[in-house]
Amino acid sequence: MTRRKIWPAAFTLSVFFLIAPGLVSAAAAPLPKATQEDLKKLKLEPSLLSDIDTELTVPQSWTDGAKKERHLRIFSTFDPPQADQLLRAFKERYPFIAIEYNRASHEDRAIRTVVAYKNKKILTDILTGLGGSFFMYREIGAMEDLRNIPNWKNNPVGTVDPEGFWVGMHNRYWCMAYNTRQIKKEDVPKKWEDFLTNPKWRNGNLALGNRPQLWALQLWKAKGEKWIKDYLTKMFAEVKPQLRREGMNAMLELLAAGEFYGSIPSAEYRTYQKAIDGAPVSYACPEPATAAVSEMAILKGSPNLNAARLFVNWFLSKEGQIAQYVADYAPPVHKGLQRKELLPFADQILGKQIAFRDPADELEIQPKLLEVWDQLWLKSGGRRRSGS
Amino acid sequence: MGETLRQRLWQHGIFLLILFLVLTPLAFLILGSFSTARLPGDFSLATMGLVNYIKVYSDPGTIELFTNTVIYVSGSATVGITLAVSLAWLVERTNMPGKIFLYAGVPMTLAVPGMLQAMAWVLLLSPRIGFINQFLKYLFGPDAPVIDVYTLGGMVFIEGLRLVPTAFLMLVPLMRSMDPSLEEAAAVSGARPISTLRKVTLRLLAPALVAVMIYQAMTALEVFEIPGILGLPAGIYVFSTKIYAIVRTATFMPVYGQANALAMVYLVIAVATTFLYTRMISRAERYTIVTGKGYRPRQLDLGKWKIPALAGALLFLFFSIALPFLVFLYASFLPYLQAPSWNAFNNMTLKNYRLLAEYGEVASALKNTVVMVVTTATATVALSFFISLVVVRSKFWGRRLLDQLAFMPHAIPGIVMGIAFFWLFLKLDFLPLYGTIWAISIGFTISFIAYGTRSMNAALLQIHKELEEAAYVSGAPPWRTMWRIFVPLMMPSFVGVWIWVVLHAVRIAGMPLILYEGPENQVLAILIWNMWDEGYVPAVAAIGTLLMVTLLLLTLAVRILGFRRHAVQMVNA
Repeated sequence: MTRRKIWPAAFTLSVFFLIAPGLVSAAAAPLPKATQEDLKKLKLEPSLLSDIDTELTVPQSWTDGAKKERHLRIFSTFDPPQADQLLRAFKERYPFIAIEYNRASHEDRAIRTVVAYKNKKILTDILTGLGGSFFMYREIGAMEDLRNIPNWKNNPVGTVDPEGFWVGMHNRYWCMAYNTRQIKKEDVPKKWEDFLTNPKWRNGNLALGNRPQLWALQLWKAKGEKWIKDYLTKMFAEVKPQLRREGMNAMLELLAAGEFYGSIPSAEYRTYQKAIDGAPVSYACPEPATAAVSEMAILKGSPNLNAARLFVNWFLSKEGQIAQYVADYAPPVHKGLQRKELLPFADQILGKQIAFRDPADELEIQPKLLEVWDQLWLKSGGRRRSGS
Repeated sequence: MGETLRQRLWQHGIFLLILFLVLTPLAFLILGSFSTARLPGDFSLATMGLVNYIKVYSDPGTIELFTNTVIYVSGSATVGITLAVSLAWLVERTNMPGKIFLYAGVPMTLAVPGMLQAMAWVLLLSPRIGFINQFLKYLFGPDAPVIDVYTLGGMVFIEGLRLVPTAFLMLVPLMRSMDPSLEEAAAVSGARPISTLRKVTLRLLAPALVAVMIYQAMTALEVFEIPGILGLPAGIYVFSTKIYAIVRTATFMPVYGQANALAMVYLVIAVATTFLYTRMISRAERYTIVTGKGYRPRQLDLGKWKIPALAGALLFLFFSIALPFLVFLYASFLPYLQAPSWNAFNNMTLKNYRLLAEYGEVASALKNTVVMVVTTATATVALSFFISLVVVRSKFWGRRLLDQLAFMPHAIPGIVMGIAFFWLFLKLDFLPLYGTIWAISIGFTISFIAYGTRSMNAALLQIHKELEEAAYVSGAPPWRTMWRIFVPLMMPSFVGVWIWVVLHAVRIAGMPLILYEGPENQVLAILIWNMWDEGYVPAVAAIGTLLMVTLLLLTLAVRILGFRRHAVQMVNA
């Protein structure tokens, strides 16, 4: 071969090797079938996930470890059919991990797990939705540090624990739900003060759940201690709401059946699910919209630590967050997915002032809030908060 | 000599086993009540004190708790006994038509677990959305009176309904075998039927009635499900639900010692009730109303009251079986909870039944339940039989104590036994039992041996010792005597007790709720309880409908295998 022929050949080869990895990457990593279906269902462009391979790159030791562990246990709040939908893409990507999923109530997730943990028994590898109970886990050092999860960086500031013990898995807007047969559009509250002024909500037509930390805590932070104390005092004394001990999901069922006209707090995703089922319910966010994230954590000492890390990393990726939205309509927490089409009742939330609950609030404000709340609650005939 | 030694060994073995299984958890319950550590795992003798007692008994709510419990227990026992006496009297001592419906129907009410019955009544009588209340509003306008089931009255009414079938089964044979000569004498003397009933019939029955009432009161005292479903949402506590509320928290670490301290008073009440019950049973023997004379009880002519009496009796069956079943059946086809309407019927769906098939938890809970009830029933039968052998057939020094030990757990509510076993399993952590299905099985077995031994004692007394001695003289070893003599003769009792235990173990949520840790030992009763608590009402209705049908078939089996005989043994043993 002559020198004149060698140079063009060398140039061509160089160009090929330079662009080939990109071509290989684009062509060799097709999205899981489940993800393709999710994107199609939401009418989202596949290019949204162009960086998914980078997002899912993890240390090889995690993958090797997960292949040895082969199992993963999750305690969460998804209904089992929703969990099946959520986990389809993960199972395609990581077919060597068998998942044992269990839905559990807050008490079962938080308390039974911690009691067992203190008894040196690890009931689950991944635990979600620990709001209000997280401090117990911190006290006994039951959480794995998650700061080494690559997709940790995808979450906005304030949606992760500074010490790495939990990471936000989705946004939650804890506002209110109402029965559309009993509440007309003009009666839908625009500000939180509307509950005090509109007689429609009085005398048991409004129901309060015993979880003030989900919404009043944010209002305390946004409007100040005096405002929230006055507000709650008037709410209990003048509006006289029904004081309900049920969980938020049960309250929504009662709302649909007409037990009361509106309920506080209600989350956008559950209300949306119920509305899709044909129940006469809708959702409103008085301003400021009270927001939070739900936590996801790995138990320290988990026998399936590597599988758990793979799962958390996948869950925080765009693919995991989209799968979650398709499964139960929970708004993604991922910075790159803050879009109107991934937020149920977006018109009730977007453009409004947001009052957000961050972990520091939980530690600082929650005890004071619960003290005020419990006094009002008990005085008004509510059930005593047990075990205090 | 070798044979005697072997007998002594197994008698002592049974005695020590029951002593351990009954007293060890109770010892932990008592010790735990003094523990200042929040969790059993942190218990140590260095952290003992009276703080739990001070906390729970200085709480102003404790007096209300006492009052509620007394009203609930006495009220429901009164309602239950009144209904049962009326029904038993109607079928045995009057010429009411259609008795067959009651003979067949009343025991069928056992097929509706108390938990499901309470849930069905919530759907009917919830103040705003209850179907009956909505219908009343439809008829009489928005100011129509509301019947609120979330009250002490509601709890008493539903628990009262639930107590009827057992009391009925206990009372029917007593009514049937009463010598009618005194009643006839009263009638001849010109007494009116009602005053004969009041002054003669009921007085003759009084000791047995009191014994049945105490037994029923003990049952009501123990029940957790009805006050749990109806009382907890309204903040109306009785002891069992208060104990549950202490250990079931979301925002605080539960203080188990406080639950134990509260359980102590429950324990005292239960033991006192047992004492009273035992006394009444022994006194009842003095009031012999069944004699060797041949007679046929006279039947009172109800005249124009025949049809109203039948209607009243059928109304009971309607309230106890038909209505709960129909409500659940209706709700199980709803996409979301709503009152009956054309729109609701048009929107009916099979979604909830499909969900059960997809819900992995249902399959695992079902599997756990089957394992749990089969092992519990088998262990109860085996253990009860061996205990009864020692009590009835031996001269073992501790046989009376053994009998009392076996009976004691009946007087202790399931929720309290659950807490006691919870401590035991957590403290004896070298036994890997906590969080397993075996933990629930052991707890239930200990609770049910009271019933098992009552039945077995009575059945063993009917087998003459000659048979055993003949086998012994013929040189048969003890195992062959057991296999060829006792097992065939006792088989009806074995099967009866076995099915009785299955029927009860499948429906009780109290103890499993305490011993439940997670999916590994979740049984159907817990799944139903949790799903109801979380608002999956139509899905609960679907599970409940299927469960009721299954239990109905089992109850039929019990009827066929002579449940009535066991109920009588229970009250007479």
